Amino acid sequence: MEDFENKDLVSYLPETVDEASLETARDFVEDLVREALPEVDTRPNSVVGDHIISPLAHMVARMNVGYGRLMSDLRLSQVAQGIVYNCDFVREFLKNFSVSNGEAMENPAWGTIRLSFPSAANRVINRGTRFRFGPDTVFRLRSGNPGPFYARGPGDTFVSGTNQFLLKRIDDEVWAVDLPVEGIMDFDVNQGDTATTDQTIPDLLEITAAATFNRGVPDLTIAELAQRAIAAQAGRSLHSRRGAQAFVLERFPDVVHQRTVVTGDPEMYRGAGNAFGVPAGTIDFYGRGIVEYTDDTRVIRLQYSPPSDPTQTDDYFYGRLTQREAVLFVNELRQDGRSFPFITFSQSRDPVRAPLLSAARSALEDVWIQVNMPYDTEGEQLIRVVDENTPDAHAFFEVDIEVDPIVENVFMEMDSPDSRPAGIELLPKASTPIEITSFTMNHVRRSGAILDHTAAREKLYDYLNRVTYPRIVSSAVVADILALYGNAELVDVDVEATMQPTCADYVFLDNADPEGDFENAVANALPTPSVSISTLDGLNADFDFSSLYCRVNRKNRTILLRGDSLETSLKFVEKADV
Amino acid sequence: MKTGIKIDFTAAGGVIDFGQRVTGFPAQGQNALVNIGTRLGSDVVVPQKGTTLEERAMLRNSFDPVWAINTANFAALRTRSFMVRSDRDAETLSTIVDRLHLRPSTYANQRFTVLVEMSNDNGDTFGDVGIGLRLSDLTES
Repeated sequence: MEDFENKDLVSYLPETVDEASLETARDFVEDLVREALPEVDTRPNSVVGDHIISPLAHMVARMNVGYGRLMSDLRLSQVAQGIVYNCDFVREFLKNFSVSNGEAMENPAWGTIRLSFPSAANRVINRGTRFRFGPDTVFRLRSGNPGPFYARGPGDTFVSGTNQFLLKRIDDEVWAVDLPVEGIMDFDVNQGDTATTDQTIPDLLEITAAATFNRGVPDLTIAELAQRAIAAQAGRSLHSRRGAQAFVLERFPDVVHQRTVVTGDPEMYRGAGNAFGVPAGTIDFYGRGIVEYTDDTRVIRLQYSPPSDPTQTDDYFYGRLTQREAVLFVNELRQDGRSFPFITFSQSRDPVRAPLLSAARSALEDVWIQVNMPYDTEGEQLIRVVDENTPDAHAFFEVDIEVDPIVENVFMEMDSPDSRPAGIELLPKASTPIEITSFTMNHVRRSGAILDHTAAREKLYDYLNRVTYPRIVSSAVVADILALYGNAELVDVDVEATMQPTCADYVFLDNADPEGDFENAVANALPTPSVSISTLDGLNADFDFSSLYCRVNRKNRTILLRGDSLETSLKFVEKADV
Repeated sequence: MKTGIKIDFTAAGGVIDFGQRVTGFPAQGQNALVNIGTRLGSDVVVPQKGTTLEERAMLRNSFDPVWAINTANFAALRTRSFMVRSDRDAETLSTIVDRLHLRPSTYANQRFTVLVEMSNDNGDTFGDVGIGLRLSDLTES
């Protein structure tokens, strides 16, 4: 009994339970028994009711309180306020977050080790080198960068992203390099303690602790540990690729695709340097929030530009369609239910932050629209102009667009004062959609086998919609699906798809002023490249539009199946047996 | 109808007979007897259970017929009311136990005895059963 009382469960049970809880517990237990044995008399005063149900209810009521206390100990917010029911359990639980005063395995000890050499010659130190201060006090090299460690002589250039450390002169004839290490510490390692190594390092004079090592285990109260765990979980840094992804995933777990592109990546055209020539960090976050985009209709007011000459029919309407939201597609423009052709233009709101198409499908892209006045065969205008012959002549239109709300949400979250990273230029964008209108799988069917078109289509739809970097659209996966749902063999795939880096037909130059001089802005606008894709490999291809500051590839594109239905877009064509 | 385990009421107290079952009217009648003899508030899980019969009897030094009838009536009323409220399957008294009478019988040697009689619409009766209460020690006979 004594041993049992020390177990976690019992330690959570209360001494007493209030009447209301007991009554509720009795009803709960009685319901369970009545459900299984409806004929048994479980009422108060009956033998079963008084001698089985009631004692059980008492136990359940206590267990219920104990369960609530256990759940409270699992909630960091409760623990952080100092509400702890079982300190031993919470201390163990917090080890999961690597913030505990716990074992060295979860929080490795760390320190700096000094390797001394008789000269300043360049040296390479094997990444797997171990340094031993005692039987159970072993350390290994620690770095976020891959590859071996380099000890370089003074004056050598430093390359970011590599493990380069400079040799420094510590005595007339002694040069040393200090390297970060982590490991298991059985006893304290103090500055100057000597170590041995399992590797041969040429010319090595001595290995010492450059400073007293740290155990890696903070001496904190449980509440402080919980606060640290909360901070570690909630305070995702936006300063790194992984941090930005974690930041978004934590707040928007339903993001389907998400990928960050940072300074130095070939897809990054923003932020080459600041005004002083110092390289500035930039992060583009590409995401897709939901499988289907949101259709939206906007009513817009377009300014009327009269004909250049009364005899001409070159009059048109123009204006800004959207701002501060990532428009995926502009589908239709109507007035009084009648559709009219239109031309769209992309403009960067902030060319310094995001020039030309580097702002595409982000909150920094404005979309402008132009509608040329249509005329009937008798020369009559087909669109009614409001306040014609005045400077305020205009017309209203309805425009159908497709947007991905996640982009603006992420933008606002990242741009908040609490989250905005210092010194980092961060821009959320919608992943560039590659629209597939037809995906035809030519295959050979085995005799007697029946291809389950519906199931195969659903599987393919799911696969294509969710394929994201580093995975590629692979014929092997398509072949597997055909084999699984019909014992069919894939011959090849015909694809009809298009990719356009922005929803707009043209791109305004960064110095354009469409608000002040729309005609001039249009005259200098650049056509948006549009790529037709006909092969499976094309869905994974790399499209570089460097003159427009834009690059689309499998890191920042998403696959979008179009068509009236899956039947029309995902097709199966049976070939003669080969 | 509910089936319970039979209790044999003897002068020495109730004895649970696990080999015997009681169903319907007798089962509910048995529950009523237990309730009448239970001191109100003595069950921590169902504190509404029981009557003030024992408590009030202990406070008396002499037998008073008016007081005894009054006490018995309250005990009958409380028991009937509790049984209706606590029967979650609505096996109500109107169909099983229609009438519940408690009649004071004797009050001697620090022992207060009431006779219990109950019947239902079918003409079934249960009683006269005497419940004797001695100081704080409840016995049924």
